[in-house]
Amino acid sequence: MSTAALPSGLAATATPPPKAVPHYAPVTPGKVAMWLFLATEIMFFTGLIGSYIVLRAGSPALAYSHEYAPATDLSGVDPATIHAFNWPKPYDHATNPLSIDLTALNTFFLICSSVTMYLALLSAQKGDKGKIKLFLFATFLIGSLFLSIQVYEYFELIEGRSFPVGISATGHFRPSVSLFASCFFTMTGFHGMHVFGGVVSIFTLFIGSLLGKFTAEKHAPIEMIGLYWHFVDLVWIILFTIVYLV
Amino acid sequence: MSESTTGHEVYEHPHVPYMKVFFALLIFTVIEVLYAGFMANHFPLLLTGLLAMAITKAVLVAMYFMHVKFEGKWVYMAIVPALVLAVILVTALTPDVTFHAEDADLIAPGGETTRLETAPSRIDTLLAFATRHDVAGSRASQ
Repeated sequence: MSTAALPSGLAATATPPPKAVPHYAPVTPGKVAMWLFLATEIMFFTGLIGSYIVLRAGSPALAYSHEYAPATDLSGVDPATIHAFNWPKPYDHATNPLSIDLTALNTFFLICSSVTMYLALLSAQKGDKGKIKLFLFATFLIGSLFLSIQVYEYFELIEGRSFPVGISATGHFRPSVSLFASCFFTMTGFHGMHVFGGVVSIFTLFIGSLLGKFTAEKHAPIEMIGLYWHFVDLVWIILFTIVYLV
Repeated sequence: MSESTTGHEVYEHPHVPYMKVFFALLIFTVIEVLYAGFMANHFPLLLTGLLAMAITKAVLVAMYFMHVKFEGKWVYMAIVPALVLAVILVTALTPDVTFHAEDADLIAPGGETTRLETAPSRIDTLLAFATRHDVAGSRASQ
């Protein structure tokens, strides 16, 4: 029945009043599940970072020096005659092989990928299919670039370059040469695997966008993978600080 | 501004100042790198300054890119317990950092102490603990 044909009083009764716009974003089962998964991920990375703090704080005062290889017994050496620390300092190239400049650039790329991922979601909310494809592909490319730089960094550390004795007795920075090395590879390695999982997922989303699967009403996978991707970015922000800079 | 529907409700997506957040993250990253270079030999300042900046960056990402600011309070029920447990985990590990079995062995039964030059900070902590709790005195009286 058309409301236009009714008397004004009845029309007012037949037409429900407009509902207030919800203040918060809608809660979907998928979003709750993703947040619970991210909570477990917080605990996972806390385990790694907590272990790192314990191992680092418990490291002997003369564990790393300019003159001797890590783990050398220096009990008979006068501490005043050597440059020694309990942990390698940033920018100290005699004990710390990590390239802060390269990794800062990599951090910049990961932050850029968070922006493109957000723009992909924004495009999906607007129903702009062309921009969904563009920004998902951009995120995939930048994520891959991050991984490529990390692989290059690993290669340089493990095989490509020769380091002084204060970094490694063998000249190569491998997980077995020191506690610093094993902590570094464990934390950045697990984060790298998370990035790899994110890049594969984003590529899957990109294929879905090519097939026209996402609309303004239906784009939950982009939001879910986006949450995961931003979390991976957040974890890297913490790891970059405590592993490379502190 | 775009809209999406769930059931009968209409939700307006909030405007996120993503470019401002991006530039803030960028600027903080540059400051962090410079700060680490200047403060490399001042560990307490290095640690507190960098942690403050890293936490600020992490909060920005969570609040704006992950939309925590625009979600209902339910999302804190997922995050807060995990963060509390994370703090408890690290705090519970702290005794392993501060007190070591080899340090405890350095207090002789008669109350005399041996200073280990390679780990002065932990020894000082242990001596302060022993003084507070009269560990040496109680051992001497046995």
